Order: sequence, then structure tokens, then C-alpha cells
Amino acid sequence: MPQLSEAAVAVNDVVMKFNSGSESFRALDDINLQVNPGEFLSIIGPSGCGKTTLLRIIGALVRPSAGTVTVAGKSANQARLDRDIAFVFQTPALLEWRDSTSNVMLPLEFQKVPKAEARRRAGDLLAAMGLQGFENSFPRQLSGGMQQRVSIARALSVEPSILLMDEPFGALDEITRDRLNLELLDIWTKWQSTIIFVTHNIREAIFLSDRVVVLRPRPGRIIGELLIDLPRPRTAELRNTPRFVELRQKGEALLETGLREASHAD
Amino acid sequence: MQIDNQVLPESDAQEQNGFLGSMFLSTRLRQWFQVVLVFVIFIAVWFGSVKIFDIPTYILPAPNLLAEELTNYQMFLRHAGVTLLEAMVGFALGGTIGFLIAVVLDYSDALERSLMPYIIAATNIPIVAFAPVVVIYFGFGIESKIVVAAFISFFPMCINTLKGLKSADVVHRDLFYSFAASRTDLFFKLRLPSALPFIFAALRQTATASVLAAVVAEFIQASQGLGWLILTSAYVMDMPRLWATVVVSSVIAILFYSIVVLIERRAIPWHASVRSEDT
Repeated sequence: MPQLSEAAVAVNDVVMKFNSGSESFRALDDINLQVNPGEFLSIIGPSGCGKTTLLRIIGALVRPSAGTVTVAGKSANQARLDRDIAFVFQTPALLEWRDSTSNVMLPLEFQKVPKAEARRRAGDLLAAMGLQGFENSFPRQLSGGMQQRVSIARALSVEPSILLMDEPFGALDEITRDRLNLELLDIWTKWQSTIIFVTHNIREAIFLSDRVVVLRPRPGRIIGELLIDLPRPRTAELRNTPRFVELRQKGEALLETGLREASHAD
Repeated sequence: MQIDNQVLPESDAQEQNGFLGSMFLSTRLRQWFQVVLVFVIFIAVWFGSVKIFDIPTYILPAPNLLAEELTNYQMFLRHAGVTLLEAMVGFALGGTIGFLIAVVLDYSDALERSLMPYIIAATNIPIVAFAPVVVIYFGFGIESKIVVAAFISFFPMCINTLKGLKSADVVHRDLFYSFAASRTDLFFKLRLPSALPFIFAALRQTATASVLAAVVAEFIQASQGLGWLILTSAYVMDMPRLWATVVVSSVIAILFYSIVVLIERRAIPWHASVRSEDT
């Protein structure tokens, strides 16, 4: 029997309000969420549903107006300070004056990892991301997909227990996105970290995840979740199986319900 | 190297670069040719009009007289050396102080809010009006010229550094924050590199301005330097020498500017856009 361990991430009664003038806008309302260790969880919803805000709260980039977030058994901010968390942003956010290797080395420099050791780890990660031969390329010499791979390698370099990904493939074409989805799963099975993945693409969410949480907008609330019982390792052909299509229709129906509820509230 | 669909966009870009590169080379050759052509026409028109209209030398000397004057290059080199020394030391001094003050102002919001309006206002002090004051305080030697050059170099450096330190992308700040980077790492690994294009824009501007400042300060009171040479040549109406000195002053200003541009290209090759736009 595997031992029941505590949740990797626990979000309790989180509310996020933004004030614009005298108006207060509720971006997130009554969010409760548990993420298990080693789970691949996607958060999906239409734009404006607060999914990015939720991810930023979990990563301690912003503080919620109310509620608590526990990450790896401590407060989100403590987890950030202990470097349990790594972020992958919508844009690759590479430093243009550093080549691939030294971009990946950046967070290791913050942790005072010896140069030679950091360089070796960066080389391994770039190789794992299929970037052999591009170790000394600068961001401007790489395609968007390759830049995002460097960015993922950088996030993995600190060996985070929780990886937060904010629509990392949103700006890429579908072919590149599908390819990177497969590569991400490959890496994830090797690294065994918990991943919270934000996207607005239901197809991507189902393909990657163990579980998909669906948000509705105005105010951002969880309206349902899908348990993805598709077998692993996942392959490209899986996208055409009846079960995949069924899950996808379920997800689309949930998104539709959310939007209808939101427009009734307006 | 493995060839896959990821590599394609890049090799496409390289091909384009190669094509543009060869275009660029021929345009560049043509540009050089045009520049030389304009120079030749200019000298010819100058020479022609002096001869045809019989313009006296005390109004406009013919280019050959100017060239003759320049053969006395040792004298020009000595004075140009003095002016360049004053300009460069002032440039370095004003730039360093400007940079350090910007770092301090950046550190303290209160200081920045209270001092910045004065710094921006002081940028408008006319150097011609201010130079005599400095000469009285710092004497007739090269010290006063260095101070005037430093004064003029200070403001662009201070203002641009401050702007540059704040120019880092929000997503990069988030990145550093999420990795729990220290303040020192944030400064040296993000904010300072982000400021470099702004700093070089200031350096390009102050390289020329510091030569101007040194020459103006020499006008007030000096015993050597290009400003002094211009003034004494004007007193005795030695027009060939006067014009030759003007040419030499321009050349050293351009030279100084070019050195800064060369250093910039080596220091921040990743920043392509600043070179064509001045801040």
C-alpha cells in the first residue's frame, strides 16, 4: 500500500480582489484545490477567468486577498524562498545577453552552485530538451519553440518539487505545441515533479494531465473537473481515440456552462 | 546536428541574414563612394569659388592653404592632445559620478523624488554661461576644463542610468523573484545589463559634448588647447590656422564618438536597436 502523503499544493478559500477606483473586481472567488505529489494538473478556462492569477498566487508572485496557500507543507512564500517552486512563463523570458547554457545556469547562480557543476547540469538539461548544438546560441538565434525549451530547462535546473507553467506553449503553432507536449511528458516522467499547467486549450490540457480543473470567469470560480483516465505513456495517436474525444466534449460542455453562468450574472 | 522541424525556422533566418548581408555590403560600398564623392565636390566648389570670385584669404582661405597649415601637424597634435585629455578625463569623471548618483537615487525613492527635478532642471544650464564661473574657481590650468567637461557629462549619464535601471521587463523581474534572487543578483544580473543600452546612449552623447565643453572652457582662459588656438588665431586673423583648428576639433570629437561606438558594439552585441536610435 502506498502511503498517503500530504498534498503538494493546497489552496484554501482563496479570494482575489482587484480595486479599480471605487469598484472592486473579484478575479477569483472561493477557490479550493488540492494537488497531489507527482500529479500533472491543468487549470483551464476562458480568458479573464483568473487562471494566471491563481498560478501566480500559488507561486507567491502575488498575495491573495483572502485564504491560504500551502506548498510542500509550508506557506507559498516560504516555498518560493526555499526554491521548491519554479515558474515557466507565457513568454520564454530569457536574458538576451546570455547564451542558452548561461540562461539555464542563472537560477543555479542564485543558489551559489559551483560554476563547473552548474555548467554540467545546464548541459545535461539542454541535451534532455533536445538542444544539443545550441548550447552557445543566444535567444535571438533560436526559434520560439527552442526558446521555450531553454526556459523549461532553466526551470528544471533547480530541481523544483513543483513546476508552475503559465500557458508556456500558447504562442506556438500547433505542430510545435504538440511536439513540445510530448517532450514535456517525457521529461516529467523522468523528473517526477508536480506540475500545475495553465492553458486555454482543452486538447492540450487533456493530453497532458491526470486531472483538469475548469474555471469560469467573472468571478473566477471552479465549476468542475475532469479526471483523465487515459493510459500513460501518452502517444500522439491517443488524440483520436473515442475516450479522448469524449473527455474533450465533456470539457467543452463545462467551459460552455461556465460562460453561460457568467453572462447571466452580468 | 540533428535536423528537425525546430531547426527549419532558424536556418531560414540565417539564409535571410546572408542575403541581406550581401545586399548590405554593396549598399555600404555605394554609401562610402557617395560620401567620398560629396567630399571631393565640396572641396572642388570651395576651391573653385575662392579662385573665380577672388575671395581674399582673410574671409575664406582656399583648401590648399588649409592643407598647408595642417602640415604643421606637431603643433596641432600637441593642442589636440591637451583638449582630448581634458575632454576624456572630464567624460570619465562626470560619467562615473553620474552613474554612482543614479544608483543611489535608484536605491532611495525619496531621494529620487526630491532630487530628480533639480537634476533635470540643471541639465538646461547653458555651459557657456557656467564655464567662466568654473574657470574662476578652478584656475586657468586644465583642471577647470576637466570640471566643465565633467559637468556636461554628468547629467545625461545620471538620467539615462536611472531610466535604464528601471527598464527591466516585468516578466524578468517576476522570474528573478520566483527564483528568490538576492538584491545583489537582481542588480548585477538583470538591472545593470538592462541599463547598458541606456548607458551607452549617454556615453555617445557625452563623448562629443565633452570635447565641446573643453573647447568652450579654453575660450574663457587658457594657455594651450584647441579652444585657445582658435581664439589666438582669430585675434591675429590667421584664417588658415583658424579653419584648420576647426577641422581638427571636429576630427577629435568624431574620433572620440567612434571609440565609444566601437566599445558599445563589443559590449552589448545582443542589443541591436540602440545603435540606430538615440535616446
